[in-house]
Amino acid sequence: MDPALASAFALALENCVNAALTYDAGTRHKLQQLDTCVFHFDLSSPTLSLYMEVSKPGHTDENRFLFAVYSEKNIDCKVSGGLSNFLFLFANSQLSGRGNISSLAESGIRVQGNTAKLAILQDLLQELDIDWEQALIDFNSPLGEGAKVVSHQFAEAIKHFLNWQKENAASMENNLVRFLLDEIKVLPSKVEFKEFSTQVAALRAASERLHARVIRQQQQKQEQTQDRNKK
Amino acid sequence: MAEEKQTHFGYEQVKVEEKAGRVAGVFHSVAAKYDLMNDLMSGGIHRLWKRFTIEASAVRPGHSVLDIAGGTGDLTAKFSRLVGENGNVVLADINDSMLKVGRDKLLDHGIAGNVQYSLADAQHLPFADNSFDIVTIAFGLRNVTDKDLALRSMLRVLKPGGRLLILEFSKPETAALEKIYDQYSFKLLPFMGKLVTNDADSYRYLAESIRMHPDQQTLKGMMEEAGFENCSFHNMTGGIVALHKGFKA
Repeated sequence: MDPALASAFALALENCVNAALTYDAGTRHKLQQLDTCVFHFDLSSPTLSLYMEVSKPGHTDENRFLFAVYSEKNIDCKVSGGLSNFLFLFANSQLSGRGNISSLAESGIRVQGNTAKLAILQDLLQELDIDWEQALIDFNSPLGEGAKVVSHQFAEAIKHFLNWQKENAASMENNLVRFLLDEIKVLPSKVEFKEFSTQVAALRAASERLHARVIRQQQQKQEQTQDRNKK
Repeated sequence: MAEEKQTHFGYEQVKVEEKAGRVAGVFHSVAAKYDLMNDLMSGGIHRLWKRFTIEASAVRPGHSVLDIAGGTGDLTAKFSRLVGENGNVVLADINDSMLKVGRDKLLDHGIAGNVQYSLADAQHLPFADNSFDIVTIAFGLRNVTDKDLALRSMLRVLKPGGRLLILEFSKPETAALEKIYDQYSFKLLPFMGKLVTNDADSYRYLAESIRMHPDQQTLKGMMEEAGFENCSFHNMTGGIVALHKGFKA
């Protein structure tokens, strides 16, 4: 990707992320755990190399995310994969609420370096709690007091919707399992599957024994034929 | 009688000793509205080019940086924050009008303490040998009369292991982009210059000087010739601008 285009993306991302962080004091505080850490995200399609550093730029006291398209600093953790892999992983972790490091196993994403730091980063993303209400109020405050009240109501509605969506996402997996197992019975239950597995294992052992017996009898028959020919 | 040495000033041939004065005239004329014109001409993209330059410099706290032809101090402002209290940045420009605009702008933004200002010619830098970790020249090299002399001067003031970064207009990578770029720079650019600074000639010179500037490979060769090592370049915005990088062994 053209460095100017990549820089524009990095700049936009940096501004967005840090603007959002100003409304989440908790995450800002927790960023200390990643102080001076450098992550390298290497996207293969489209080709984009993005470095993310957590540091205190200039004379500021609080950590910020800094994004760059070029860096010569020591990398703590390199994450590489396709954009679709990253998006899928992000969406999956948001929906299931299980965005831990083990979920990278089948995601098509490669991780090199300090995975503990990456796990901390994932935890931070999971626990993001941005005060959208304050953000909306700040955005509309030049319009006057009335706008603040409307912003508050609007923010409440968004919060209710997000909570409802989070609860639904959590219960959806359970409901889906029950529906497939109990209602339409297209999937076997755990007990049935275990029973079936035991039967398959027993059948495999029996067929192996039979195979061994056939081979043994063939050998015996061959030996008898050879003895008869000698006599 | 010996033939007088000539050089180019845009598409015009002028005496070598006249070029610096003519270039100075251009920048005296545009200094006051230089930042505004930069934003208008590039659509703000010059900020991204400079951002990439800062990243490629790999500047660290405590570093000593020389920003040649620093003009209104865009790079110096960022370097100043990154080198911190223990580092220092020298904003150098041959043009006093540009230097004054840069100094006032930086002071207005509270950038002081680790920034010095120097009215300096890139060909004869008034600094001791091995003084700087990083030397940058952004959109300035094409205005220098003797580029080889300037490159050797930059090499001299760099510390061993230090790096030079040259951000400069260059040759577009495709013919189609080159045609569009020609139309833009020879028709639209002088018109915008006329509207904003009432000075179309200066912006016509800008377009002409870009065409007269060495292309990516030639400039890389010049850097190697001057003594820089591990020279490389990154094309940006389809090659309209290139960032050259070289190290002092």
